[in-house]
Amino acid sequence: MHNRPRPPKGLPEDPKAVEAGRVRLQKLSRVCNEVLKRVAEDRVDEESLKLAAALLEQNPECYSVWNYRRRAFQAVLQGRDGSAAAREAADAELALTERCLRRNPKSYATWHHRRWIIQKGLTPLKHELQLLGQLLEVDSRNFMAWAYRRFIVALAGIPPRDEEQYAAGLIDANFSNYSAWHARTTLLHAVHSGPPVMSVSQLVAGDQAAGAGSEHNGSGQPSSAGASAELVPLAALRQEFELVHQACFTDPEDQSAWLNHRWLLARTFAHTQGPQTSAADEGSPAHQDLTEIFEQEVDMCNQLLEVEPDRTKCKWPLLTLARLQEMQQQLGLRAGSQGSTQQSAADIYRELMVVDPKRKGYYADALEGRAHVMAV
Amino acid sequence: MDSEPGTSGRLVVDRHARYICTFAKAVDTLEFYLTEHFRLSGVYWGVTALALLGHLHNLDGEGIVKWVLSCQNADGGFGGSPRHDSHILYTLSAVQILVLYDKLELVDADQVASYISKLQQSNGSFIGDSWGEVDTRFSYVALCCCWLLDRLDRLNVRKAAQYVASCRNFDGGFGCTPGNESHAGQVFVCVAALHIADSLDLLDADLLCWLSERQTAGGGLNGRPEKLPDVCYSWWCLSALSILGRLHWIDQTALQDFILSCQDEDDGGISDRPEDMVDVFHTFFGIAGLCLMGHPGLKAVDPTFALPLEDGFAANFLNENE
Repeated sequence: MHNRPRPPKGLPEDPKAVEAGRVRLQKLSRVCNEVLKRVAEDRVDEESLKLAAALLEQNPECYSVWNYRRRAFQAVLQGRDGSAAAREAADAELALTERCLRRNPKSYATWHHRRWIIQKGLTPLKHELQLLGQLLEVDSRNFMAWAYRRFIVALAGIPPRDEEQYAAGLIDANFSNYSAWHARTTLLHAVHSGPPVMSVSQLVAGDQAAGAGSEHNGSGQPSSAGASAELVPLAALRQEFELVHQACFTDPEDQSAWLNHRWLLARTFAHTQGPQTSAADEGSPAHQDLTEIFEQEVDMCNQLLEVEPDRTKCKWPLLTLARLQEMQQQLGLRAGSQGSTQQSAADIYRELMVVDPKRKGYYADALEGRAHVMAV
Repeated sequence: MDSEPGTSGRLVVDRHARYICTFAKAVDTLEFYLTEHFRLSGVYWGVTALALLGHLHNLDGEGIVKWVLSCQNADGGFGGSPRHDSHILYTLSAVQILVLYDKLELVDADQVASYISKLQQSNGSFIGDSWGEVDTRFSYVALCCCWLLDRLDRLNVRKAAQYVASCRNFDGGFGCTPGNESHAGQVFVCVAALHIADSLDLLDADLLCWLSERQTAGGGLNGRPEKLPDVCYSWWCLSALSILGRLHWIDQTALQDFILSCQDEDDGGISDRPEDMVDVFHTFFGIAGLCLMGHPGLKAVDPTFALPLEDGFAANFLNENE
């Protein structure tokens, strides 16, 4: 349904292509009809399973056939052939899903079947990480692979620090890897605060593993919005700002870095909310930290504006400056030495309506104070 | 705005209607076999698109309803077609088609709601079928289906909403399960689910300016950063923005032009992007996106339930009950 070019119009049909299509249709309809017939009869002999595998390699979203293979597998598990037979059967299912995934790495049904087999606990997990490494190398944005990765990481008890390093490596190779930036937002809290709390039943049940830290909350507050809403220590945030600066300077128009940057600002802002009130006290070390961080970020945005004369390429530093201003105002922080020459947030939004006109409806709302983004 | 060379910039309503009807009748094709497992959803896309175009009468409604019912299994759920096992996705498609044709009374609402309620897990999430796949798409499907059946009370709506909220990410978007990357399709299902659960306070509507960042230079919308624009996101992003009252956060003229440039103006149908092959999926979502933007000559569409809001039973049903 995606990425297939429309055939040119008015050309005569190529008889060879028509014949090839007819042959393919004949083969497929025969296999389909035969397999679904045996599925309905629950025939699980070797030949039937082989036919089913052949169909799935061509059409992996044909979910009823995976259901049938699971029923066959359950029969082996419950059978009298012992654990060796069960392991062999598990290996066969994993081999089939691997063949299917290498052909079509975006099949929900295939990923689910692999997960279901792994959850039986009959096979080691090392190969899963290898397979994931390979598939993510081919397409580092494959969110099904990432979801499966999180499942395996939780099952294997891999520490958040290791996964954070893996994601950092991907970002190093490509600053536009939004999936890797996203991964880090779910890991940072756990890396800096403590191990995630994950019950065995959660791992084993059909429920996919929650992101690290979603039940463990350093500040003691319940987290209803997932791991990325947890508190991250200021020292760690400073390191993150350094990393994201590199990305912003390398490509100032890359939204991956800037969307992450907004989140870092929000996480910084979060230090002024809730039970930690010391940061809200002027003169406290935490307050000093925050003032410094915000001024540093204003500096970065201004530096980028200085080197780019084309304002249509400056949407992100401009938008970030406006939000920084709003935050500084809200916290009663002094705007620093640039205060008097700085564009007001309102002026910036008006300029954004011109330089980024597709989103002028959003900027118009922001101008009226109807679009706050510093909550999370 | 000038239209692309080779495109007229207008919606070829009659051609799309003809394309859908022709597609509906083609049975001995490769596509027919390759799409069998989700045909019920394909029928929903086709009939709803026709309804939005004002051409539903061109199909044999009675035959379609009969076929839909033949997809129901003993457990009360529906499979993608008669030879397939029950799944929550196709159960919703079946109910949506029946609502469209005002034939909801032909199913036992309690039985269907019972099939769905058994798929809810203790943490509020929903599995797609007895084999246990979890995905926020299924949360939306469950809530949507039970609402249409007037059996929402069979679900633990509060827990369902809390689970959806736990899938919220740093960028305000939602993923398929907790901790997974935001994707416009998941954002739609989560926003719509929270809407049905009367729990929109569990998300940050302002932060969903992320959706406005999906609009690319050519006017089309993508599903996540760095991806190509695709007509189906004209629905996923737009319906979410519409539910949140923020449709004005994207450039609607540019998007309409993009959708129109994805038409096959000779043979009808709409593709994912210009000059690609058309299919019923993108034809439906392109038309639905245009409906949300009030394109002339089309019926209004409900952004939460993806059914027509004008003319016909679906409209009366939605207008009375929402």
